[in-house]
Amino acid sequence: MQDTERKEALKQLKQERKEAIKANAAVAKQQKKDLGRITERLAQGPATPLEVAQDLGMPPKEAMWYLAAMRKYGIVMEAAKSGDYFTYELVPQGPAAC
Amino acid sequence: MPNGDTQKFDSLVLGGGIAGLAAALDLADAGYRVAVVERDATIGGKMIRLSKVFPTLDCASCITTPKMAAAAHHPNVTLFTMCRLEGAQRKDGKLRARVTQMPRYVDPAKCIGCRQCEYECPVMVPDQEQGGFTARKAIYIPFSNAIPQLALIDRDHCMMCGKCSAVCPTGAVDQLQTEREFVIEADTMVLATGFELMTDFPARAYGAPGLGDNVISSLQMERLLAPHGPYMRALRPGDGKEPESIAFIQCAGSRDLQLGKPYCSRVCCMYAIKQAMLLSGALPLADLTIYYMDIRAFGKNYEQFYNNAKAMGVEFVKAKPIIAGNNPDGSVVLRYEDQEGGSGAVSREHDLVVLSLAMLPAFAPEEIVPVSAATDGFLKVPQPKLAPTLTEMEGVFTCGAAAGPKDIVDSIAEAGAAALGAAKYLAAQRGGRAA
Ligand SMILES: Cc1cc2nc3c(=O)[nH]c(=O)nc-3n(C[C@H](O)[C@H](O)[C@H](O)COP(=O)(O)OP(=O)(O)OC[C@H]3O[C@@H](n4cnc5c(N)ncnc54)[C@H](O)[C@@H]3O)c2cc1C
Ligand code: SF4
Ligand code: SF4
Repeated sequence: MQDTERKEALKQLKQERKEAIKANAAVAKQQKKDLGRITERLAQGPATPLEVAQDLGMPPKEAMWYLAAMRKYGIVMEAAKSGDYFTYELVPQGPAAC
Repeated sequence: MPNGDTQKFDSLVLGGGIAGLAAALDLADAGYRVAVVERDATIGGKMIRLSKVFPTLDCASCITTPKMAAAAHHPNVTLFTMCRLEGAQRKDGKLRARVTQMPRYVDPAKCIGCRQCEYECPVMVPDQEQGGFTARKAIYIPFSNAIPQLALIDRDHCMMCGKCSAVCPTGAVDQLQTEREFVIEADTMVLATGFELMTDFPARAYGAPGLGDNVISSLQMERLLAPHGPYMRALRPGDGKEPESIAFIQCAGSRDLQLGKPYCSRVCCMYAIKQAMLLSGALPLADLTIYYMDIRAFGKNYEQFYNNAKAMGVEFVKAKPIIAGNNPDGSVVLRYEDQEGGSGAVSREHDLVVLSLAMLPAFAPEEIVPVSAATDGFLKVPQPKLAPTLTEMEGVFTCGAAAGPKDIVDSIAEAGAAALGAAKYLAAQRGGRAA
């Protein structure tokens, strides 16, 4: 397929998938916002998933999910234990993307 | 590969789990050319997703990865991942299997598995390879020892932003890829399609979509115990607490016609004991309780394994509890009739509850392969005692959990028998000559 044909076909595909793309983009936008808020919170010091959840008004399960994901992609790391919970802190100058 | 291509092999193995891979390798070592057709993006089946395996407590990945690599590198084995079998019929003595290659939206010939796309992609999706407890991206490689190490796009979640294409060093991303159909022609086939865990247990048993954040499935517990698991330690998913009390409920959906399936899933007693033993190593102060109907420790060294767990302090309670509710602190309330202690109805709370869910067949052959399913839904084997790997179709064999719940030892033993059956059939076709 020529470059111009590919471009045209991609444009058409995007048009066909317009609704799904819109919905997925909305999810990604919310995720970006949540990640930003968690990063800001952790910039103030390490926190447990429960503390992150309480401070940001987020269900604890969701905070735990984000922290696990941020750990997987090299943004946070496990830190000291506080009672029955581990705390998480930002990786110094970790990769920007998640 | 253009649409309508025909590729010729001696044998087609359907399913690239441990049983399928073992059968494929036996046939390939005997000189036969084998096609392994796998519907998933990686071979390895359930075993590559386990932590350690009973009764030896070997690391599952350490013993599965070499088998996966051996199949990938064997000159007589060709792997077809993300493929759907549409139908297989014998015509003029040959089996003709119609297969659809699902699109990855990534060119397998160009992708080098660097994961730069995955880091760049802005959409996070619950990672089912990790029990849903962490995220992957809309473009991703399933896990670090997946074979093949190729990215794929999850179209349902992709927002077509083009970031993956922009960052890919080899220009592998191809959003325009489509399904492709091709034909595999072979003399024999081995059905090694394995099992799935029951997913609708909460709906069947409680009429509820779920049972709370801290009630998990046994496969999810395998991920919590795996060295590269979602948290890299055993924490409860509801809030990250290190659990002080963990319970296992056996026969969740099995041996219960009203709530699920009448048969025993065979491996759950042993894997629950295994998981409890691993947890007692990881969390030495935690209370571990297994609620059971009977303990079925049927294999070599299994009874000893069970006794070791008792000696390590794992508590065994003969009861079939119900999940009565969740407390605000995340603990789960169980209620049960104390069958041995005579205390009547008892309530107990645990930080985390694991359901040993029923094993169900992963493949319904109807209208795809002319063999039938038995009343339990698993593949029918007409001679279960004398020839447990023979199916109703000439030259078609089965092995592993495809024909019924089975552990790894039995799955591999059957794989050898199925491969031998297929090799004998092939030799007979060729006038008694081996490969
Ligand atoms: C929680 C848990 C823990 C366990 N722990 C242990 C243990 O410690 N020790 C032990 O011995 N056993 C254990 N088992 C049992 C073990 O998982 C099975 O014995 C083993 O996985 C069976 O292998 P299999 O290849 O038959 O099936 P599977 O592992 O299910 O593999 C089947 C493969 O076929 C593919 N497939 C299915 N349908 C199709 C189709 N239509 N087309 C193409 N491909 C298809 C699947 O994607 C999969 O890759 C455990 C099971 C569970 C649930
Ligand atoms: S698609 Fe490109 S960026 Fe992604 S893993 Fe493959 S080669 Fe790397
Ligand atoms: S195009 Fe899709 S897969 Fe690629 S980066 Fe964007 S959202 Fe992710």
